[in-house]
Amino acid sequence: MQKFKYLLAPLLGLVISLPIFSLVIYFIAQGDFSMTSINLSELLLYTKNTAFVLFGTAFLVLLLGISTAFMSARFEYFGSRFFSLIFVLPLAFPAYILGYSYVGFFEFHGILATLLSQPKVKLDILNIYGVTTILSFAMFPYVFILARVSFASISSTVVELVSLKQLSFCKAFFTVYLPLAYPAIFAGLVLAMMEVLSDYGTVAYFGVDTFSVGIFKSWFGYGNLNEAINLAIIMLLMVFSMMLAESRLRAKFRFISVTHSSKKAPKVKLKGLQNGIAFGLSMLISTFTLFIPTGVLLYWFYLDFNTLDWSSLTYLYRTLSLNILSSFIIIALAFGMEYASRFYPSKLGVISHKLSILGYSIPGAIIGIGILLFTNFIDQSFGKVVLGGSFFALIFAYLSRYFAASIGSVENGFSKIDKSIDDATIVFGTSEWGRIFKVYLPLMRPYLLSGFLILYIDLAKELPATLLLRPFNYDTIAIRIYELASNEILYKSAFPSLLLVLTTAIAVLLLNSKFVRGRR
Amino acid sequence: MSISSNILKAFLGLSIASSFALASEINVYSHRHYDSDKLLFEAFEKKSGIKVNVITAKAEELVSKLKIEGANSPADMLITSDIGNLYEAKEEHLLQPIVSKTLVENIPAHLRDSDNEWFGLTKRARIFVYNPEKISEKELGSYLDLSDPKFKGKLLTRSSSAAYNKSLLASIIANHGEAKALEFAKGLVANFARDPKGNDRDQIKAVASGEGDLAIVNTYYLGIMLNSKDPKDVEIAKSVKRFFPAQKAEGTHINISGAGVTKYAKNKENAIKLIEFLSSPEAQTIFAEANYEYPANPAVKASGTVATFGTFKEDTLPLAEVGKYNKKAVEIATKANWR
Repeated sequence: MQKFKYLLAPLLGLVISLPIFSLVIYFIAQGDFSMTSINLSELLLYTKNTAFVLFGTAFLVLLLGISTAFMSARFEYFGSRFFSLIFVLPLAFPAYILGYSYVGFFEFHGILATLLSQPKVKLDILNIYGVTTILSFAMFPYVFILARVSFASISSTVVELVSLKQLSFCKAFFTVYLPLAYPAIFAGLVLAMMEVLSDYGTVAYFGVDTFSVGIFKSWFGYGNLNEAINLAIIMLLMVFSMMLAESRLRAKFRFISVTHSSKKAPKVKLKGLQNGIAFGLSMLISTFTLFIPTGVLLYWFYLDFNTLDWSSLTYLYRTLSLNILSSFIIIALAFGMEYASRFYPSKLGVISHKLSILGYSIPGAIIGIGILLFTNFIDQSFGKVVLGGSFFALIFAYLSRYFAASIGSVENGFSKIDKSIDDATIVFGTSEWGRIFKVYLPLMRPYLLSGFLILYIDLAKELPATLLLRPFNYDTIAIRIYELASNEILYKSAFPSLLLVLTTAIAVLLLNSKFVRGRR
Repeated sequence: MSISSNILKAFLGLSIASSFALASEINVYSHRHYDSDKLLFEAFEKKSGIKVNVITAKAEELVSKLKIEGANSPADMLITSDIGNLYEAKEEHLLQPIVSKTLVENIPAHLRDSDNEWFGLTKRARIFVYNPEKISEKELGSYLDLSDPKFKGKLLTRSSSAAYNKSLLASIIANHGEAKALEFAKGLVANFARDPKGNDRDQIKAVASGEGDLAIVNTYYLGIMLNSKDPKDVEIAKSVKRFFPAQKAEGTHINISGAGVTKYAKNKENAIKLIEFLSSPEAQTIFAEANYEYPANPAVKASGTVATFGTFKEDTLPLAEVGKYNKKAVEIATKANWR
């Protein structure tokens, strides 16, 4: 039994990465490693563009994510509670919808031109800078959500030490607070980066050829799915080696973990000029990341109001029911994996942990193909359709693709639990289940909730895997948005997009409420 | 009454119910994502009592899915909104021939497969939209003319990986040969006003804003803009002019949405019934009205906004030829640096 527990994490990782293994097996079985359609100069271009978008987005995501997280976790200022909700919401926009709405805002005869009554005013954002900005607007909440929990749990002991040592704000921020939140920030950044890598819709619309555009060019252009899979596997290998390198790096810098046993430091109340600056900064960030795109959608919604298609509500209901079920399953497995890795660690577990999050970095459509290969293999061995076209296949795809979205948060949470607590629970002889339910789950609550929130939002807007794998007649709200947007009737996509943002707002409010969180 | 006879009855009832369920439904994989299609499927359900189940996704994905699923595929029918993928599906042996007098009568020969494995349902013409202040109609002619240096810095179109451009280039290969097509693509790229980006609507806007003078777009996007609830869209669509290219040559290139019955269809008869219905004047009128497409059935006239575009000579090159050169088109576009 004890032996089996050590196998738990590796097994979970194996199951979650089955679609990726299916791709790799397919890749080997086909024996077709050629890259006939994509030439070297194209590959170089894809690499160059991908690097630019990736690093550009990383920089902006860190800048926006860390500043918003720190402000809303450490300070109390005018509107700070409101902003802590607002900063999450850009994540609810599918990145390409954010792109469309900004094009609608800045284009010729666009909304800005109308507001200024200057029809000639326009700003061409359909370029690599535009797409980098849009992607960082869409992704910074990953860092915000995860880092905020971390900054908020800084203990009063740390704050007292900082004031005893008379460190300047800057010094304290960079040498104490930032390193403490490093695991969370990094987890958020990884999510943002992987999502940028896998994005196809936004970069293709903006005319920027990244690696994923190359993957789809092989598949859609040359009808060469094999080559598309080859390219995706190359991408996977790069991400995998980057993650291994990071974990080596992190092993060198063991950060002191902040224990839950100590008291949390209270927020600092800002006054006067500082209050104004914090408010101004928050306002500026949310204007660009949320208010302008929402305003554009509201305007389109208003144009469409008389011909509104209320069936969007049905799509929403479907999205939510599928979404909540899947999120629960995924977060539970993430908890299981982290718990098993902590108490029953093994080398195999570490590798399988890394494998399990790879799905997030390759385009969802490719993961979808991996699932198709896997479910079809099962169906064929049974000689009849067992899994194909079922909800199981779809939820499996979500698990495989979005495991990374929850595990970072859970991992970060476990890293904040002092090892002495582990020892204490063992000394007191509590049973395994007792210790999970009475000690770890309660301690992990904020981290599990933020993981759940990210999953919930990610799944609500998930498109490629859902397109490929959903059962007949089961359209989600993201699919509705995609249908309208790809028909180039942008104003009609406003209503479903706004519904999506609204449900996210409700989810954030609920998760922040005392009712769900309990007393902290 | 024994228990076993009850079980037998229940079992019979169940098997009848399930065979009935099988006989009265049809599973469609469709790349079309228009509300008009939902209306059409509903109309068919009402008329025939056959339930239509639909999954929409990108055409390439659906074709890959059919390929992986093989004989296990639940799909009875494939609908794409471009000839390239229908052709590909046939090449990959994912479709089967249909024997239907109705379809042969309703759909002209150049819009269907020679082996009757797929049939066109709607047409879209790939036309020019231009700024009448910068370009006069007299300067315009065929697609090939766009490579003339007089258009330097004036042309706009989306990327070559868009299915519509791919098929246009494929039709040029079919009509004029590879060398001419490459020359055309190179000339086109040399005349670009900007790097290809955005969708068809963005190209029309770029003409209106003066960023370029002429764009290659599909007719129905113009129809959508002219009927938009956004007054700016209408204003912009009205400010540009339309031109049907190649009227003195092969005719304007048209692409189709089309359908075929999958090789392993379990509801083959129903699928044929649905395709026949979609080719009927009743359904073709809905296609034409709701999405500003041209009906494939010549007995049905283009309607509303589209009728005001006027009549034109269309390229009657069999579309199978266009499908055949689709991959070649991607190669040529890449060679010409048309991103």
